[in-house]
Amino acid sequence: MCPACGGPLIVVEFEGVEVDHCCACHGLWFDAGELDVLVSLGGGDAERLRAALAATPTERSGRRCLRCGRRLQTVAVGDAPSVQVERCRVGHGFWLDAGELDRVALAATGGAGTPEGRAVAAFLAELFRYRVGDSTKG
Amino acid sequence: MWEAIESNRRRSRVLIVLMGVVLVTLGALIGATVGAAVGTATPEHEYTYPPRRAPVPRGVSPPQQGVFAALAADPGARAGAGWGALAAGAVCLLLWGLAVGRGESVLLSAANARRIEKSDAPQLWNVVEEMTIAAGLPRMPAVYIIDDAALNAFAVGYRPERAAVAVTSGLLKRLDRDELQGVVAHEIGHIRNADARFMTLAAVMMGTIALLAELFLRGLRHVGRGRRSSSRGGGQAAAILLLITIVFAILAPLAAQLLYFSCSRRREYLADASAARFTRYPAALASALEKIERQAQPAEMYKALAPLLIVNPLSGGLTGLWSTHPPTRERIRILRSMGDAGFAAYERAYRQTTGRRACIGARTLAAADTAPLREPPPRPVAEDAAQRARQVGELLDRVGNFVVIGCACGVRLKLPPGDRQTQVTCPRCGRTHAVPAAEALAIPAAAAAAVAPRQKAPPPMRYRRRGGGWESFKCGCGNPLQVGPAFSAPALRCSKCGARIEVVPPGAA
Ligand SMILES: [Zn+2]
Ligand SMILES: [Zn+2]
Ligand SMILES: [Zn+2]
Ligand SMILES: [Zn+2]
Repeated sequence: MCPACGGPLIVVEFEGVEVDHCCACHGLWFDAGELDVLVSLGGGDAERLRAALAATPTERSGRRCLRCGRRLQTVAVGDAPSVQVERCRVGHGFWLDAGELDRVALAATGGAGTPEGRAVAAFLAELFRYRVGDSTKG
Repeated sequence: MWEAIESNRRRSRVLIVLMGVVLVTLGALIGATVGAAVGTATPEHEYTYPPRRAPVPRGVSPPQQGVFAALAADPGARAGAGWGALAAGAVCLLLWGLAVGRGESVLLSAANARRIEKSDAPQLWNVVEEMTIAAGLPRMPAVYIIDDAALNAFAVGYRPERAAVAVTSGLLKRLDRDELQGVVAHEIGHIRNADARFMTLAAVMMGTIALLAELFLRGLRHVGRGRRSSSRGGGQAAAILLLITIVFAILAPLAAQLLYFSCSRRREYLADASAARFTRYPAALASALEKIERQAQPAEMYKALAPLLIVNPLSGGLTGLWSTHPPTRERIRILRSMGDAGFAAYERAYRQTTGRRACIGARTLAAADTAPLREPPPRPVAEDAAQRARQVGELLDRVGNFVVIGCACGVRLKLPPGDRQTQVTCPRCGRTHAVPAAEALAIPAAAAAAVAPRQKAPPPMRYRRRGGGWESFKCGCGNPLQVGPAFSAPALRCSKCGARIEVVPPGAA
């Protein structure tokens, strides 16, 4: 069940990377390591992404980890503007709300100003481009 | 072989008894601490808070007398210790019964292992079959797979006829057939050498010690918050007792693991020697060990056993079976320097590498035959790791009972077993897919009337196959079902509701 809205989750597999996808709110759950692989597939720097995602948490989220049920913690990834993603305390993975994925990728690859940043963001946006009722895309 | 197994068996008994002592001591200490706390807080079973009077202790005891002073001074602690020890003893017996009765299934379900059949993973199945024959086991162990990226494997089974071999999906993905055979041979070696029985018992005991210690320490945190200020007159002896119990609760799980490892070393070498003998290709096990050692991931295995242990008191844990103990480098070097595949060759290589001797008993060596090494098979030109990964992924979907829908845009959508949606939209391309399901067959009115009195019978259904490969679909009751490439029967029965489902081959009218 979706940690954000309680909707049904399905697993979406692309090139061996598995992502849990909420059919209702289109949020995404990445198990530890899966996001790295996805970003590297798009030509991004997985090291840099890992470093960005390892930021110190700002607060406890009300949502719970898909794997262990512990409360997730919120971390701000990137700067100006940063993206709030939610992370499992013991490292099971990350929850991204709809529309956060490409912004995380941008923050982790040097921003929209760099060609590789744009490439990764475009790759990920293409991968999850169809979002019914996505608030960020209208 | 037998003298080595015999001496291992003796050591195992000592070890299990020692672990039992640790467990009973832990139980007694926790019992005493709880007894002392309860005795202090509520004399005569009246709950008064804060306590009306502090019954203990009269004389202040020097710290070094610790437990005994506390026990002497506090009747509550004394009774608690007795009850605690008794309870721990009972738990010990219960565990032994559990391990004997169904230890393997407890461990396997704690590790989230799923049993597979031959059609699920033919290669793994064949390898286990071959090694069973090579080892001369009376019957083939059950084969389990664990969805875990870490490279790992273990064997369990208190009785040989209930033995099982479990491997992780990571192992299947990363090892080639020969390496997999080496690892399976090692595990079969454990079963053959009667290690699996000991390992099962020890794992269950280690789990309980960790569980008990964790429960105590966790409980303490809660209690500590509640009654910090009320410990007026609680007694120095009781405080010392508490301290000792805390220290013991922290050390006991470590002690259990050290005990375990002190005994597992020889077993690992012996299982390696057995694997070399069974496969006649020790270099394959060596290269498998290299891959296992190289993996960067932390000990996922232990996390998998978390339901049994609740927390991971030591990162290493049961993974030590494979990766930490004895030193993997040493094992690799021994395997690589074997002249032939016999026990004598292993013993020679062992002495050469470690400088120690007598890994395998002298009588065994005298009776041991030599066996020529197998020629390394010609390497496939380009081993298709990606294809292997895909096959393992599909295997996991099958054993996980996912209903899988391949979308034309290249992604695969997988519905978990409990999912109730009848259609899903692909998040990439927006195509909407109907979830494959068996359709209800229209029953002629007359037949329906005849059937009507037996209302319990589920209606017959029909499923049209889409292709010739593995396919998953839902029964009308929602239960996910699968048909494989080899499926040729006209119908199957739902494992949940028992409905008969007609299976129509692809292309048939
Ligand atoms: Zn949702
Ligand atoms: Zn978690
Ligand atoms: Zn699609
Ligand atoms: Zn059914």
